[in-house]
Amino acid sequence: MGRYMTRRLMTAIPVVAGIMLLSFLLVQSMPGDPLRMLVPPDLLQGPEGEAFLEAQRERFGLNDPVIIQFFHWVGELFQGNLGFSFHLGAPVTEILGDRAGPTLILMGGSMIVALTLAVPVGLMAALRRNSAFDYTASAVGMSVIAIPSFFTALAAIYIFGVKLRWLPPGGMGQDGFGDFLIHAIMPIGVLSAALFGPYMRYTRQSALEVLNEPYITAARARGASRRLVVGKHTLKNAAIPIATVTIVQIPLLVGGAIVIETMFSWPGTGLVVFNAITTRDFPVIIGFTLVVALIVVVSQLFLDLFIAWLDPRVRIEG
Amino acid sequence: MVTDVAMEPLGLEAEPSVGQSPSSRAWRRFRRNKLAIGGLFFLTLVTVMSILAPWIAQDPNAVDLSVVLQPPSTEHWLGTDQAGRDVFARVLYGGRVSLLIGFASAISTVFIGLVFGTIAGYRGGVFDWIFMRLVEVVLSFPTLVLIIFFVTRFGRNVTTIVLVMALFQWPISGRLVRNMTVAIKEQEFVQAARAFGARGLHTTVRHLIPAAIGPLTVAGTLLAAQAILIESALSFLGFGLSPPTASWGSILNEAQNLTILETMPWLWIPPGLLITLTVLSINFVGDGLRDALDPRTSEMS
Amino acid sequence: MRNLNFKRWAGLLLALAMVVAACSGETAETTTTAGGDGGGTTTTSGGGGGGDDGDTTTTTSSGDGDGGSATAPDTLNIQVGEFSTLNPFLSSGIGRGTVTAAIYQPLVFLDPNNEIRGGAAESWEISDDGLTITFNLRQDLVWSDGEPFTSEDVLWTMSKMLTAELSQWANRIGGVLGQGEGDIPEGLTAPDDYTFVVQLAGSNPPWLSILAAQGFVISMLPEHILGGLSNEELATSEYFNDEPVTLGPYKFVRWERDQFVELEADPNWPTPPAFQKVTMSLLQTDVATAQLETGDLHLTAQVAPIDVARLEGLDNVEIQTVTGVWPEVLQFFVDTPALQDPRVRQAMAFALDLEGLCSEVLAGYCAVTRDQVRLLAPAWAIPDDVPIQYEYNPERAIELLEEAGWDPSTRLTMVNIGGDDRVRSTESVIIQANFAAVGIGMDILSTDVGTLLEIGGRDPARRSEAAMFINRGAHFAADPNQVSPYNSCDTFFPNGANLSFYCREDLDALWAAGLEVASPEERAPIYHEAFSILNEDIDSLILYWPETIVAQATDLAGVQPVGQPEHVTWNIGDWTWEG
Repeated sequence: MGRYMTRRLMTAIPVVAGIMLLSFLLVQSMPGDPLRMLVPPDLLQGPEGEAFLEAQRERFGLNDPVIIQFFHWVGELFQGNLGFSFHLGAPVTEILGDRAGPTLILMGGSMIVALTLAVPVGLMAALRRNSAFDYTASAVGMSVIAIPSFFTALAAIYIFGVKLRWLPPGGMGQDGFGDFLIHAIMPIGVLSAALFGPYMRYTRQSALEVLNEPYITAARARGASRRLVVGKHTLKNAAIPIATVTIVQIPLLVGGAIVIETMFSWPGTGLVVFNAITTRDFPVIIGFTLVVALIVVVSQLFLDLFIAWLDPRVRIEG
Repeated sequence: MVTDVAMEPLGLEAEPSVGQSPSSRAWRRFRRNKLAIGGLFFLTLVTVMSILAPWIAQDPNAVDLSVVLQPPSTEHWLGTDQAGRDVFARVLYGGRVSLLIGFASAISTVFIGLVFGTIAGYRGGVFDWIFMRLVEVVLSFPTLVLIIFFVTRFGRNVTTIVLVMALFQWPISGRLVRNMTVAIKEQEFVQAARAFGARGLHTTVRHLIPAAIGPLTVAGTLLAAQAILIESALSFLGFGLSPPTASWGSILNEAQNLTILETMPWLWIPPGLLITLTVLSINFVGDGLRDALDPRTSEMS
Repeated sequence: MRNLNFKRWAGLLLALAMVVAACSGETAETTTTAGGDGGGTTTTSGGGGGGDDGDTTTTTSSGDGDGGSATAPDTLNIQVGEFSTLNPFLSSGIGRGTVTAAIYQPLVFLDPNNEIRGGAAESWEISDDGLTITFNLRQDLVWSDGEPFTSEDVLWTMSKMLTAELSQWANRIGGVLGQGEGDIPEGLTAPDDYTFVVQLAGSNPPWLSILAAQGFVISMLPEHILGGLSNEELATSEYFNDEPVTLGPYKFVRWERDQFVELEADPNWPTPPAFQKVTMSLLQTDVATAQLETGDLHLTAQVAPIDVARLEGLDNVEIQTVTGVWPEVLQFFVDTPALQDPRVRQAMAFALDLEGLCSEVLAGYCAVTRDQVRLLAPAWAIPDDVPIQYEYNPERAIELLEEAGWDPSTRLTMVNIGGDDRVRSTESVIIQANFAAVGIGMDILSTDVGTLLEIGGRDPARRSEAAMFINRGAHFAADPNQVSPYNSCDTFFPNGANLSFYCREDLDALWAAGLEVASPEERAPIYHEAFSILNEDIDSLILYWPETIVAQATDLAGVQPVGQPEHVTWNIGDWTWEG
């Protein structure tokens, strides 16, 4: 186990390094002077304008060559700093830290809601393959994927926020947990609707594959009850692929979260990253991509180790 | 927009069925799937309509300020938009762009994946290691953020969008091809061919293509659906194509307002319905293909 | 050209979620109020209880603001635009002015009628030579921490605002005697606790109106708190965003980035405000509209024209409009070979159906100035009869193009930086169609501000990628000379705001001459000549002046919108709830 863990870690390191280098290079290639962009040009006339810009550049270390900037940034990284935002005038760790909560609640909440619904439905669909239930579930699952989520969100705001007035149309509740929950229903609902489809389909597919394994077929042939078969084997064996897929999907889910956060004025990382791109706020963009990438790599790592722990064969094949 | 091909089962687990000629059997299986046939029919219809747009519809970019925001009429079947343009024409022409983005992205993604995957799988060693790490790097980035990035850098046009999608989605098909290549390379007849001095890569590819075509087609359909949705998300975030070019995403985004939602359904129902039905159809076809090409999961129950 | 408001552009993309409206406000930076005589007229189109009495309007919400009910809410909820910092020395976003106008005092500011009015200053005198301005400060003001407000605060604040290494305003309000030499320039003095004197280095008639135009952002700061900090510390300090000591009817409680700013009534303020608390929330436009409908939101100054009719139909919502200060401008790169002949630019002005654009795309919430100069400066500076009136006349456009020897195969590129702004993209296709009708072929290139600034730089290869772009400019009603940075030979971007690269020595001479004399009577003929040149040359084409549209709860009284939508809170201390 120890050796497998080391080997697995060794492959994760170059991936993280690659992510860092790539995001830094990408950001450097963006057009536009990030500091000049922030100030209306009519304010930057004459020697005063030049002096102001120069002082700002010095403050943010932008006068150094790119390569120095990169190593400086990496150095800071090891001290737990992600740099200082030009645009927001605050440390990136603080900016992302403040917003990580709402985004994690949105993404995590949607994943949980979607999985809670999708796994049982997917299993049922697999067991009753080609039944009316299966077709309905598939159709619903695919339809919710197929509607752009900004539109689902707008429709939800209109129906539940304006017409029925059941839910607040946007923002994040501040007056206690109940208020917060009420504000969270629509964003989480819309995002989990988009997730339900893929999760359900994947569960169904994994379950079908497991159901086709000889030992399950044999168990069924011996007359084991459906419920038992499902409960004991299928779910257990389908769990790993479902978990894998949930993790693999995080980078894409981030995109969905940005759209949902924008629509519902949900104060997560999405809005700030989005602004960072348009204002060339390099430290924020790199910080964010890095954090997302690390989350993916690390959870993948843990999952792999967990699988290896469950199934010794993996360690040998590694 | 959160659909991800990575999570879709691609029938990868199936052994490459070398030596069989399964196409006619697959087609028979596919035909039995009513949803898939329905999807195929709808896709064909939409594609044909879009291609024939210049003969069916008016000029999609003809501005007329005397007929702004008109409801459907005999003159304008689906009404007019904020600039007095014919919505029916815009939807048809928008279909050209959306479908082009969908299919071109899918094809280039699959192609890049095929090339990289074959090389990595065949050469193995360092190539393979680098390939696998690259796959992980690319798959770890937040996709939409990167696409916005590239569109900002290289311009908001169809070519950029297609290329960027290919650039960030190829790992999925790439990994699939790589795994198949490794499997085929290990098979005896390839080893034997090599022993006789035949070019191993050539033999491998000859066996790889028929085996990979099925899973890749399935992957392709899913990528196409996803590309259409990503394009609409880009429009929503203000990074869509330059006006006056219409895509379903941009038409729908222009209708994204409570007043329009409430009082001008002709502006959002057609593009919304078309995106939904098209993505749905593509996914149905993809599902049908997978079941048809992977007998293991389709012949049971 | 006349107006480049970069924050506005950035704002468009930045506050992308919020900005759908043409008239949504952006920058706090570039300013001035709608000018002429017409500016500042408030047309209140009453939220008549007419038409729509469906369930939408009659329901009372469970929120703390309840549509139509008589009880005044403890908390006033208003919408705020995006902003990045409350540090007044640095650039920020549209929303900052909304906050600072409520919690700080300007020295002087421009009121809705475009008159200079005192904030922290009670009155002021200008010496006969125009070089010395003496401000008499209010003596009843106390900082939120209980310390009295004195001239020391003003002296410190103004010195720092004039420090180039720290403040982006150093050039804009520059020209003070001894600026850049020592911590406190020679020209700034505080003879006693409530007197503050500014001495200018040279004749500069617009100085006071420029200061007033920036008033809500150049806020007075507490010297007793900040006096000891270095420039470096001031530039990076979180003090402004976390725990500022304020000088206004409301004081700062907290700011949750991207969510809301919370304020509460300041008991130290001479006239206690009507609301216990104020919450300024950052909201996506549709969410804001929906909350206005449910009564959870009491005011927004960022209404999309398309939503006005629907909102007017609601019983609990009232609409006020006022001429905006930012014209929508088609900005030319006049160094583009095809555009160098002024007749081509004139032809473009004749080719555009601006009235149609205004009435159909902006639902009429805008003004079109066919002489292209009318609202750019105070009425006294604009000649009554300009050489050319540009009515919509495609035939005339075609004639002019022929005279100029226009090559019909030319293809121009227009940059569109509107992001997802529906109005912007609609108007760009209308312009494209209008141009096509007279034989001018044009493509639209959508991109963002960063890219546009690269294209607009000195590199001829990049510059040839575009011939023009649409931009929301700022209006210069405060003083006609404020138009000059946009068309002077020595302010070519990036050393100034002249992105057009328009240059005429005779016009520059007129701008300079206008500064030499002090009285409007003497200055008027000089500017009449200058604006006649701009009228004929069309260094940029003003499409329309969007109105600021404010939607508010009917029960909220005292709101007086100004041309810059984000400064709607300028008199928030006087707002009351009339149940």
